[in-house]
Amino acid sequence: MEICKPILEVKDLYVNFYTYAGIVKAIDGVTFTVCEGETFCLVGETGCGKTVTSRAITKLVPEPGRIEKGEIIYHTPYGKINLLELPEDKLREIRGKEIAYIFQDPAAALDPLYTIGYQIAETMVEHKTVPKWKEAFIKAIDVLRSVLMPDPEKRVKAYPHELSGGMKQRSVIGIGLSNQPRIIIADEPTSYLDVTIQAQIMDLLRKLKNEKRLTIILITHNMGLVAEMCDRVAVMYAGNIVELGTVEQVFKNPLHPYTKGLLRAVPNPLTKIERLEAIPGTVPNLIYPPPGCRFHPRCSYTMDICKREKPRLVEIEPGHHVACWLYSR
Amino acid sequence: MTRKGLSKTAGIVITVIIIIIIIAAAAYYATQQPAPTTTKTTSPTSTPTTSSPSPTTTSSPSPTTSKTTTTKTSTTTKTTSTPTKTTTTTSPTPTQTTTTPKPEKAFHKRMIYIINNDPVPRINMLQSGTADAAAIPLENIPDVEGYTMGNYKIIVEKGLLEPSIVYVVLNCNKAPFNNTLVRQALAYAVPYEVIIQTVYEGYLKPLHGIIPYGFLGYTTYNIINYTAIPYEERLNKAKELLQKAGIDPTKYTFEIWYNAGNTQREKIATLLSDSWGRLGFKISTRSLEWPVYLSKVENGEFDVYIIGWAPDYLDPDNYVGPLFYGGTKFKEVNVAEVQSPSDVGKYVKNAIVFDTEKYYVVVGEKGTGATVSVSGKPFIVVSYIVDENKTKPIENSTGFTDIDPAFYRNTTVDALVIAGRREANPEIREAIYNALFQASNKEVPIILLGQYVLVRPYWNWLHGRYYHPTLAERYDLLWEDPNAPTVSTGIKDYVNDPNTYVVATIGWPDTFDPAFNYETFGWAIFHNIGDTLVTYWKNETKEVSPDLAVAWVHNKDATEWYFVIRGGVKAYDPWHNKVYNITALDMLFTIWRVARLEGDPSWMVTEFIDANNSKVYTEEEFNNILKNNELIAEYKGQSKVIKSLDELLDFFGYKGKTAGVLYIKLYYPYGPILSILADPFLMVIPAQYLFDNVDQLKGKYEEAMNAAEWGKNPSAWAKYIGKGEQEPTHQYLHKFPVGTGPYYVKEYVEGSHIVLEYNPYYWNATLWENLYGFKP
Amino acid sequence: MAELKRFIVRRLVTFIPTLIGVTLLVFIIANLIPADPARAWAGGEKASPEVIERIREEYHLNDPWYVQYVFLMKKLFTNDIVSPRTHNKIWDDLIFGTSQGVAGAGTKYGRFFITLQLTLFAFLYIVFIGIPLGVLSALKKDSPLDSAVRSLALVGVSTPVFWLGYLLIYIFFVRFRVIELAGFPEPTQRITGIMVIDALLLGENDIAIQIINRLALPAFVLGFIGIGVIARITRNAFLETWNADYIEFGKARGLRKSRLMRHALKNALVPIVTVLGLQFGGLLGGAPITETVFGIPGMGRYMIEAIRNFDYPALIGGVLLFALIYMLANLIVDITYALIDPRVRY
Repeated sequence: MEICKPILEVKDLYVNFYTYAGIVKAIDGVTFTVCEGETFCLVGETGCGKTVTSRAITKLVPEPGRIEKGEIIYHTPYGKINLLELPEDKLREIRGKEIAYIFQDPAAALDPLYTIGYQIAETMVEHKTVPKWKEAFIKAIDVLRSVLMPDPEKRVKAYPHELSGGMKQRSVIGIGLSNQPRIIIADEPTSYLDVTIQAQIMDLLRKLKNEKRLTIILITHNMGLVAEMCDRVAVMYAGNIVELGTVEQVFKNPLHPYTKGLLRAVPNPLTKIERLEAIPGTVPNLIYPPPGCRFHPRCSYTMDICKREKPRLVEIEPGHHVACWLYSR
Repeated sequence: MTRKGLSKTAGIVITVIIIIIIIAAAAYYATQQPAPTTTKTTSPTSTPTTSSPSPTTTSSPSPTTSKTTTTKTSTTTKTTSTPTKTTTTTSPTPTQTTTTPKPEKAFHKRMIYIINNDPVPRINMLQSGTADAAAIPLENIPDVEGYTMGNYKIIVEKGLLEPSIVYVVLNCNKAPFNNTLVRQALAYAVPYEVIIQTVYEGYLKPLHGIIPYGFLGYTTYNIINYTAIPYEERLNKAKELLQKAGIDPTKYTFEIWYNAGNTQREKIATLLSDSWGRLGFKISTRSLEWPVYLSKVENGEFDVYIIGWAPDYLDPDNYVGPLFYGGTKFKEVNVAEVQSPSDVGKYVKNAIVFDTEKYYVVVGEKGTGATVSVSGKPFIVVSYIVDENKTKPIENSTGFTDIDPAFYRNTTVDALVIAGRREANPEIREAIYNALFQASNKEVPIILLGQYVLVRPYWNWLHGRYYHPTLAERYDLLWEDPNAPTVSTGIKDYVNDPNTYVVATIGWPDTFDPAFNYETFGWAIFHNIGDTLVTYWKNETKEVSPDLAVAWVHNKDATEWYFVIRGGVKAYDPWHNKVYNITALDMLFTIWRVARLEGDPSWMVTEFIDANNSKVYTEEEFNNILKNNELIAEYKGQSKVIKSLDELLDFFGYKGKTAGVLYIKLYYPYGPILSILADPFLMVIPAQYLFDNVDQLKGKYEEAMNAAEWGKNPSAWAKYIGKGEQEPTHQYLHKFPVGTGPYYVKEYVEGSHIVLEYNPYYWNATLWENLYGFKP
Repeated sequence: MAELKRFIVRRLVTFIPTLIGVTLLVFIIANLIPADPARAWAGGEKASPEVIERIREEYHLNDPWYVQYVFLMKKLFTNDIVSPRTHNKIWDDLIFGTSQGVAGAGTKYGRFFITLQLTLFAFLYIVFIGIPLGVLSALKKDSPLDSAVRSLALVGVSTPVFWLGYLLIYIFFVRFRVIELAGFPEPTQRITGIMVIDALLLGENDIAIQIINRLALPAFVLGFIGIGVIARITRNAFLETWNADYIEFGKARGLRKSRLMRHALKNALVPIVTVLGLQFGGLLGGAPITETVFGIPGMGRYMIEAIRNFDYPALIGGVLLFALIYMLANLIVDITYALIDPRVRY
C-alpha cells in the first residue's frame, strides 16, 4: 500500500438545512481523508449528500444550509488550516486558487453574457495570478490550449452558447486550472455530456492530473467511472459514509449491503439480464431520518441494533472501512 | 419563532409604522388643506370662447371667485373717481389724488400672472404670499380667508354682483316645453336655495329675467318672483300649473345635459332632475364633451341643458339679443311715445301691453285700431311689419346665431329686441328692456338660476381694488403697502415685492392678437397693455370716458361717428425697443383689420361697422365737416350741436394735441356702439409695427398706406392683410404683442407665466406721478 | 455589428406604417364623435357663422374624412399648420419652441422637450433609486429591509400622483420654502434640446441649478410609481440570477462579491431593461397630472387640452410624437438587449 500524505481531512462534518418544512439533517457526521496526488471518489445516489459535502469543504453551502460542526483540515506546505474557521476573505483566496471546482452543468456554470476568455481571465485576475487584464486575456489562450481546446485563439473570444458541450466543459476545467490549484473537486463533470465526450474529458482530467500532480476529488454516481478513474472511493448514503476503501477493495470485496446493492445494480453488458436489480425502497426523508442506521429500512440484513444505534466507520482490513453493525459489535 | 420569522415580523412592523406616519402626515396636511379637488373655479360659465369647457379655464385672471356676500353694492356707482377735470393736457381721465405724491403707496411696476391649473398649488401660492391674489374655488375660500402673515391677512371681498349668469335652456320646440305654463311650472320647481347653497356656497343671486342686475332694463316691477314662496309651496304651485296646462308629467321623459368636466353644472343637473322628478317627469342627466355639446344644442337636438353667459359689452342687448331674440326679420319696426291711451290705436292694429314702472309698453302690428284698457302712464308704442320671406324657419335656424338657444320665437319679443337696438333715447330704451325683462320672466324660455356674486380673495396689503362688469382692473390703479413682505416667485429673479402684483390663475389667453381674442383672460391683458377709443373708468358703467379718443360726435341718426384722436400717444415695441407714434390712421387700421381677419370677436365689428367705408380725416377736414353738418356731441349728461373742432374739444374739456380724426360708419344706428368700442379687443395697434416686422409686409408700409390713400380707402389694405389663423400679421402679433397702455408684455412662457412691465413711454404717466410719485 | 445596423434600419422602416396607422386610427376615432369642432374653435356659442365657415374651409372640415386626414398629414409634414386652439404651428408648440429666437416671447423648447426633460429626471430617480433598492432587497432577502422595500413598492403603485404631489408641495413649498412652483428657467441658447444639459454646456450653472431645483420634486412624484415597480422587478430578476449556477460557480472560483454582483446584475438587466422601456413610455403618458399640479407647461397638459377641444392638428401631431417616442424607446430596448446579451440575434 502506498503511504498516504493527507492533503484534506474531513472530520465529523454535520450540515443541516433549515427549510420551511423542517430541518433537513443532510450530512450526518462524515469523516474521510484525501491523500495528496490521488483521485478520491465520492459515490452515491442522488440526494445522498455528496455534492453538499463537496461544497462544505470550502464553506460554499448555500442558504438555508448551515455547517453545524466539524473540521475540514487542509494541509498546506506551511501547515494545517481548519477551513471552517477561516474568515470569508481568506477562504476566497483558497477557493479557485488552491482548491478549484468543476461543476456538473458547464452551460449553467458559465455566465452566458461574458466570453469564456473573460471568465478565465477574471479568475486569474481575481487571484492575482496575473497582474493585468491584458496579460490575463493572452494567458487565457494558453489555458485553453492546455485543455486541448481546438483553435484556442478564436475560441477565447467566444460566448458560451457558441461552444459545444464538450468545449464548454473544457473551458470550465480551464478556469479551474488557471490558477494552478492543488485540489480539484469535480462534481459529476460528465453527467451532462455525451458518452464519447465523456471519455475525452476524463482523459483530459487524467492527463492534467499527472502533469500537474493534482489531487482530484471526483463526485459521481457512475460506478463505471469510479472503476476507471479512482484510487480510493467513499460510498455515501443518506448523509453518511457507509464504506470507504481503495477501488479494488470496495469493488472486489464490497462489505456494506448498500455497496453490494449498488454494484449489483450496474448491469454487466456481457451477460444476459432478465431484470435490472434495484435496491428496494427509497431514499429516506432526512427531516425525520430513520433512527439508528439510516439504511436499515431498506436493508435485507437488518438487526435490532440497526434500528437503535448508528454504526460507526470501522476499519475491517487496512484502508477498508465500513459502517455496519454486521461488522462491528 | 425562527430567525427568519422574527425578521419578517420586524419588517412588517416597520412598514406599518411608515404607513402610519404617512397617513398621519396626510391627515395633518388635510386639516390644513382640503382634499384635492379638481379645478372647480367659479366662473364656469361658457364665457366667451375658451374651448376648454372644463371649469372655466380662462376664468378671467381677475382672480375672482371670491364672492362676498351682502353689500348689495351695485356694480355701478361708487366711483371714487369723481372726475376732477385736471385742466392740463394729460388725461382727462379723472385722477383722484392731489398733486402731492404719496410715498405710502407702492406703484405696481410689474405684474406677473402665474399659471397653474390645479387649485391646490394656487392656494399654496396665495398663502405663502407668492401671489397677491389668486383664483380660488368657492369651496376653498374658507381655507384662505383670514390666513395671516405678520400684520397682514387674506381678506375675501364678497357681495358685488357679476353680470355673468347661469341658466337652464328648455327646448321650446318640443313638448312639453312648448307650453308656457309648463315652463313656468318648471321655473317654480327649481330648487334655487339648494343650488345656491350647495353648488355655489351661497355665492349666487337669484335672477328671474333675462337682464342681470346692474344692466339697463333690470326690474322688479310686475314680475313673477319665483323664489318668493318656500320650496314646498312652489312645488304645489308647479303641480297646479301643470294641471292647468292639461299635461300629465308622467308621460314625459327627457334628459338634462351639461358639459363634461363642469362639476357645478353636473350638480345642478342632478338637483334639477330630482326636483322636477317630484312633479312626475322622468328625467335623466347626461354629460357631453364641449364641442359635441355645442353642436348638438345649436342644432336644436336637446331637451334641456345648462349653460352660462357673460357679456361682451355693457348693454342689455348683449343679453336679449343672443338669448331671447327669436330670429324674426322685420320690414319695419317703429317706436313712438304717446301720452294718451286713445293714441295707441293710431299706430297698431293689435296690442300686447306691458305694464312697466314708468311706461306702458305696447307692441303690435303696424296699423290702426287697437285699443288698450289701461291708463295713468305714458305709452311707448312699438309697431312692426314682419318680413316673412327673410325670416328663417325655426327648424333651419341655428341656436345662438339665428335664434335664441331655446328656439323660442315670439314676434312681440323680437320686435322689442329690434326696437331696443335702434333706440337712442335712454328713457325709452329702459322701458323697452323692462318689457323684455317681464316677457322673459313670464315666458321663461330659459330659466335663470342666478347671477354670480363676486368673491375675491387677496392679501390686505393690496389696495385700490374696484370692480367693473365687463372690464378687468387696471393694475396701475391698484397699489400695495410699501411694507408688505417680499416673497420670491420662482420665475427667474422676479420677486413679489410691493411693486410687483402677482396673480395665480388658470388657463391661458387664446392669443396676444386682440383681433382674434374673444375671452376674458386676453381682454384683461389688453386692457392693461392697450388703449381703446373710449373706455369705462374704473367701475363706471353708465358712461364711457375718453381714452384714445378725446372727443366724439355723431350725426342725428347715429349712423356716423367721428372720434378725435389724442396726440402724443406712443406704442412701445419691447421686442425691438422701438416706439411708434399713434394717429387716427392706426385706429382705422386696427378696426379694419379686426373685420378683415374674421377672427372670433370680429362679429362685433362686422355686424355694426362698415369698416371699408370708414375713414380718417385731418383736423382741417373735420372742421369743415362740422361746419357743414349737424353733428351732435353728448357727454356728462349734456348734449350740444358742435360747429368747430375747438368747440368740441372745449365741450369735452380737452386742451392738448390731436392726431387726426377717425370717422366710423355704422350699418344702422346702434346705441351700445360706444360700449363695444370700449372692449379691449379693439385696442389700437400701430400699423407700421406690422409692416416693419412681418416678413411678407416688410418695407411696404408707404406703399400700403398710399394705396389706401392714407385712410380714405381702407379696402385697399385687403391686398396686404388676409384672413384666418395662419395670416402673417396675426401670427406675428400672436407672439409679439405691442400696445400703448400702462404696461407692456415683457416675457411669457405658454402655460407657465406672463410678465407685464410698466410702459416707460406711457402717454398718461403723469397719472402715476400724481398717484404714487412715480416717474418712469 | 453590420447585422445590427441592418436590423435597426429595418425597424426604422416599420415606423412609417405604424405612424400612419396610429394617426389614422386616432383621427377616425376623433371623427366618429358627432362634434362640430369649428364652433368650439371659433369661440363657442358666441361664434358668428362667417367665422365658423371660414374655419371650416381652412381646416377642410367640410370634406370627407380621408381628405381631411391627408390634408392634416401633409401640412404636419411641412409644419405648415396652425393649431386652431393655440394659434401656433404644431411643431413649434411641440418641438421647436415658439419664441422664434426672441428672448421672452414664449419658450425656445417645445412642449415635448419640456416633458422629456421631466421624464428623464424621473427616469434617473427610477434607475438610481429603484435598481439599488431592488438589489439591496434581493441581497437581504426576507430581512426587515426587504419587507420595507416591498411594502413601499406596493404603496408606491397605489399612491395617486396628485395626492403625493400635494403632500410634497405642502412640505417643501408651504412649510419649508425649498422649491418653486412657478416659472420655467431656460438657458440662453438651445443646443441639445435638454435644458439642463444646454445650461451646463454653456456654463450657465446657476440656471442649471434652478432647473434642477424646479424639477427635482415633480420628477420624484412622477417617478414614484416607477421606483416601486423597478425595485420589485429588479429584486425578482436579481434573485433569480443571484441563485443561478454561474454565480455559485463564481463563488467557487473565489470571485469577490462585487464582481459576482456585476455578473448577476448584468444578467438581470434583460427584464429590467424591458420594464424600463415600458416605464419610459408610461412616464411620458403619466406626466399630465404631475405637470398640472406643479405648473409645468409640458406636453401632457397640452394634449389634454387638445383632446378636450378636438384640436385635430395638435391631436394628430401629438399622437404622432408619442407613437414615435414609444417606438424609439422599444427600439433602444431591443438594441440594448443585443448589446447586453450575445445570445440575442436579429
